[in-house]
Amino acid sequence: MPRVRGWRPLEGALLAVAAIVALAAAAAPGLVRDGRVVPSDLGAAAAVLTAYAVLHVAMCWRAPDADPFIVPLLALFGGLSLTLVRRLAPDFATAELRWQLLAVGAVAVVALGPVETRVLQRYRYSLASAGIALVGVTLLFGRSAEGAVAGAPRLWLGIGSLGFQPSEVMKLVLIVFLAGYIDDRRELLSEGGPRIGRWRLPPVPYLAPLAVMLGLSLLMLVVQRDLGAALLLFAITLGMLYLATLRADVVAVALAAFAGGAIYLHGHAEIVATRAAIWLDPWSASQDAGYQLVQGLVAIASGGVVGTGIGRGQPGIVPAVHTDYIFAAVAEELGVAGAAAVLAVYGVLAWRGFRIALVARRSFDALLAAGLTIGLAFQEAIIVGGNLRLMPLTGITLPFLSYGGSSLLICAVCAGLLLRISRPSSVPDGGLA
Amino acid sequence: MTPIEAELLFARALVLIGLYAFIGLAGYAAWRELRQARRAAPAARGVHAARLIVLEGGASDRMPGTQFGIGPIVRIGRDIDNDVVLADPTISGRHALLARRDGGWWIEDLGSRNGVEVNRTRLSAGMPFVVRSGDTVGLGAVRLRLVCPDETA
Repeated sequence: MPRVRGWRPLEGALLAVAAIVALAAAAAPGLVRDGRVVPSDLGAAAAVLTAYAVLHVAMCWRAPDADPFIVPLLALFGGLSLTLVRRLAPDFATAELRWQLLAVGAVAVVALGPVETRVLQRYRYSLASAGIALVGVTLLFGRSAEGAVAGAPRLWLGIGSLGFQPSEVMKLVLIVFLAGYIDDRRELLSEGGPRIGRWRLPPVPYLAPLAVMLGLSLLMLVVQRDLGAALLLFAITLGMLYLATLRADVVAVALAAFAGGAIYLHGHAEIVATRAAIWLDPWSASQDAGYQLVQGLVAIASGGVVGTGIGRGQPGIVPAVHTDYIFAAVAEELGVAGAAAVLAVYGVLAWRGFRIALVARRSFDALLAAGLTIGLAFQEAIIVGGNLRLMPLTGITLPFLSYGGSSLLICAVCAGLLLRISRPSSVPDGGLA
Repeated sequence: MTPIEAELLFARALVLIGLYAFIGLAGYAAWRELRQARRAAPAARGVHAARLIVLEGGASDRMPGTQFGIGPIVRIGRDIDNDVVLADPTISGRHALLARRDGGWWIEDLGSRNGVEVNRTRLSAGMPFVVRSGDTVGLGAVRLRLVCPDETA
């Protein structure tokens, strides 16, 4: 009988703090609405927290040296997300609880299960082919989200009522593939590429995936009009290639290509031109194209410094508040103080992710951890930046906080992979390899 | 103030204070990690170079405690042109390569018959793995320890 090999006091303490925040948040909407704490609200939060507590105990037993920040961080975001989504999108209340519990299971299976990261490395090309096939199938047979207006982007694949967004899966596939691809070509790192006059271009093996990804992003953008996913995939590619090469010219070439693509699309793709126009001036279109943006800004502004308090704000006016605009709900009800704290918690996640990458024992694991961190951080920055009108709005979810089955599950898998890589003996005997 | 308003205020305060307590704990952990690294650093700036210490020599004539001073690239095996020669039947002619890269030591199994282990975990051939100061490296029946004083941990 294996014994508990180590207590994880920091994880336990952080988990307790996360539980306090989640339970206090869960109690508030009932107090506002009915004048009493609604047991089912507290019960839902308690169920998710219990699942994370079980995961904590399992980690003490099976992975005592794994990173102590990830699990409490997931519990904190999971609890907040549950409360916000249950109130703002009551239709999804049951589904949200189910997805949150599934996410805990996904983290546990990925972090503690028998499949090593070596398996991902071995099947990198199979995964990449499957990912590209998935995007192709979506291009042909994709459908719009349920209840969306006619002509909305067709980003969903599904059978019957079960649907998922392949671009979410594509994000993970891309990170795994690039980690394997770059690891295969480490020796080329110091070599130069083709010359044009006095200019030495980055090596072709580094430019090739960039060009392919840029093309694929443009394709997704033009055919599917999925601006957010295209931007995210391109940012992940660029970030990982920069980490692997530390060459500024790779970034310069990529940004030049990006700028060229953006200018071209501004003139040729209606969705890009619209997004840019309402970003620069949402007020003149405040009743149609800019409605969501304006309502989001009003929601954020009405929060003030400490917010209205959970349950007291009116963020439900903002369209898609439970997915793309969950940050506006956080800002309205928790104020600048709470929104800044939530961003700081994402900062903690990025810090731990890069730290896990730094101390990883295998270069594939290091690249994978860095890629996962880049993906989560960019996704968070792109959607928060869009909500705050720091950059054009693109519809992607806020990792861990938004409602969104496939998004939440993929983010959970990312977190699970980070946890697995953070275990110092990432090559245990008897593992599947 | 009604009791409900008081309860709501309490819930709001708990949420905000809790969020900042979470960040505070994380910051404290970060500070402790940095302090540990700084404390370990000055003591570690020794003049000694990295070395491999024999823990178990197997059937070779290397006694436990024997030390090999090592350079940035160390070929380990039974053939006499290796940098570290281990004359044990469980060691392959060209068994493993230990090399300094990206600020760390990496060991790679060169396709040996009996494999390479780091801290008792078996490596896949051809996939470099980070070895830190204090780790034990198992090659066949021989076990070595890497000690590099200029590295914390």
